[in-house]
Amino acid sequence: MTEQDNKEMGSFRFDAFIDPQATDRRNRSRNDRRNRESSPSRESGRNYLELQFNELTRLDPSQYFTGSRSTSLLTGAYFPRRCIQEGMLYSISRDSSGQLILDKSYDKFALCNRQDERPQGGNLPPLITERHVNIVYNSYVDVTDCFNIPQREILPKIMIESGFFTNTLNPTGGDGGIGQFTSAGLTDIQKEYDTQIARFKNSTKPSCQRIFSIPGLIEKGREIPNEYEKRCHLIVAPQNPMRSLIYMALLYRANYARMATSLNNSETQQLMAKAGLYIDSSNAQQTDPNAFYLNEQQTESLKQMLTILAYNAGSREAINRFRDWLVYKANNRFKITPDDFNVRPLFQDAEITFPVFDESKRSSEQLTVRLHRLNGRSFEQLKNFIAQAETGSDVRQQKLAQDLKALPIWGDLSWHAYHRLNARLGNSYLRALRSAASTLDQTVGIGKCTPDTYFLSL
Amino acid sequence: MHTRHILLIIVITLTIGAAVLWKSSQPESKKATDPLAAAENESAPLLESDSIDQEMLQPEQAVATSEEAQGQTPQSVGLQDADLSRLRGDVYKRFDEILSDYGKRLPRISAQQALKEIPELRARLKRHKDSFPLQSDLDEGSMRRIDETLELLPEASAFDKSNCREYKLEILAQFDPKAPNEIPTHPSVRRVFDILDIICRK
Repeated sequence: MTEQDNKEMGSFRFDAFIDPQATDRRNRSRNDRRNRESSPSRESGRNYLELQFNELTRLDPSQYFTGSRSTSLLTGAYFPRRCIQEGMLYSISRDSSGQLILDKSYDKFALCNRQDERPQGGNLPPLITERHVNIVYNSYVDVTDCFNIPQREILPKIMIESGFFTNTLNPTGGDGGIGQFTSAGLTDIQKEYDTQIARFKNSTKPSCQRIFSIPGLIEKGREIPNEYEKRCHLIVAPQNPMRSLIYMALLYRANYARMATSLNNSETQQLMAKAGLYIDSSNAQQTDPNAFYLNEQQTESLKQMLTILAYNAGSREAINRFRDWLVYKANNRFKITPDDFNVRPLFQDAEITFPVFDESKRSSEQLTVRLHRLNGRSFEQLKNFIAQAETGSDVRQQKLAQDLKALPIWGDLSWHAYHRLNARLGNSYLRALRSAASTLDQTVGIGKCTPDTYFLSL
Repeated sequence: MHTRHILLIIVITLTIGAAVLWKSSQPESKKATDPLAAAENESAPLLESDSIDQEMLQPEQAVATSEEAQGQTPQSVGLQDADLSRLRGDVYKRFDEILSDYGKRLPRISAQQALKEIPELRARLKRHKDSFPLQSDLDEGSMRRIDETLELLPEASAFDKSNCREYKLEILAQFDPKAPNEIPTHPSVRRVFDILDIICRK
């Protein structure tokens, strides 16, 4: 952590947030207007979380979580608190003048009074107060430090999941809380919950000791409710966001272990060798000039990448998708290079239009899509059109098919492009991560919130 | 001819006739207890269930483009997989044909028996997967997970009907954790859920 970071965290104040405690506005950011929320007259109805945070303040007399910690307590913090604030602002829409839009069209914020009840959606975004940001930041830093999670690498992931809001709710899918857990995700962590918690409970790390000092936070694995009727378990304070973040950390660890095991099993090793990719390699082992040898650090990046993907896709689906790509590379004799793992813009910003037959309407319609927005389904539609055009008699369609086949999407696809074009789930997922990381780079500074070279590149 | 001889001939004739009638009345399922053998003889309708989700089970068109088709002929396979080569371009139909053999038996066998036959079904799916190269990546990739998804079903000895929801959540956690309201979006998972639904209703 640099001196500048220390200075920033120690002296940072929120500007213009509606919080009676936030009176010091000496350190306004350069983007003052961007950071400011709407006028006080529109703030009624947004302080519902503050009442619950009062309870956490009562349980936290030393202000380990609710206050701005002194530097000595910040062990294990590798990014400034402002990253959390910007993440929250990122998830609230803005109008054309840049003002935050605050109305009931937000159905993704829940209100919970008890942890064993069903969340009530349709609430305004909660106030982004200094205490709110402190709670999220301090909890995140302690959980990632205690449970040995790569802190900055998964920050964009949490950002696109919930915007760091404790009470985020997916009204269609039922995902809840800062980690946006589903019933399936909760089931996954239940199995090893007790074993993992017991292991960290005895840790001498100050972060672990602070976490386990909060009463009522940790239950037995079998007591974690996975039904939607009790989704408030993941949302209500004072147990959250800490509880949700612990679940997130445990799921990360479980998926990481699965990815590491899968990459080292014989089937994957054979596929990698065939495709010309080797992990955990030292210079002495690099005998094939056409292969790409990942050193230990790059191998770690690859494992993290797949682990992040597994959060949405499932661990087995994530590794299988990676194996499919290795087969694709090997069968087409495409060489694997570092660029294959670069998540920078996948294709040029070109637009394509082609007809798509709608079975339900028994009619054709034109589909227009930008190349870099192609996803699994639209890519499949494109391939179907080309196959039909090539075997049909319509000369114009044949010409169009020829032009479309000249696009770079048919060539040697990187891992991210392949995943985007062929993954059924989370089609724009990796791009959204990149976008979130870019936002943090722009607002807080490059390399402040996420690593200089974001982990989705090697 | 003596009356006794005539009566004896009548009795023998009636006995032979009764035997012929009995044999021809035996149901088809007893003749083909091996699901793999059944596939050789029967056409393959879609997976049966008490309440088929027709939309879900309609095989979708998968297209092998010249850029992606590997141009390899399948390895030496048994008769049933050679039959499936006629469905080379339709990944959903291919896998659904294999599932339908098992699916036709499902309503008529116990939950225990159904789970005992899963390893055999998985083996056949894996053989088929290994014999057909990866073509259309999106759909092929989706359907090629079926044998792995089936692996997550409990063994017959450990099956407990009261845990059916947990079995489903376990599958979703590995393949489709963000499925909205626990309803799978993954084609492989949807088919395995079909199977599990029938087993759990027994």
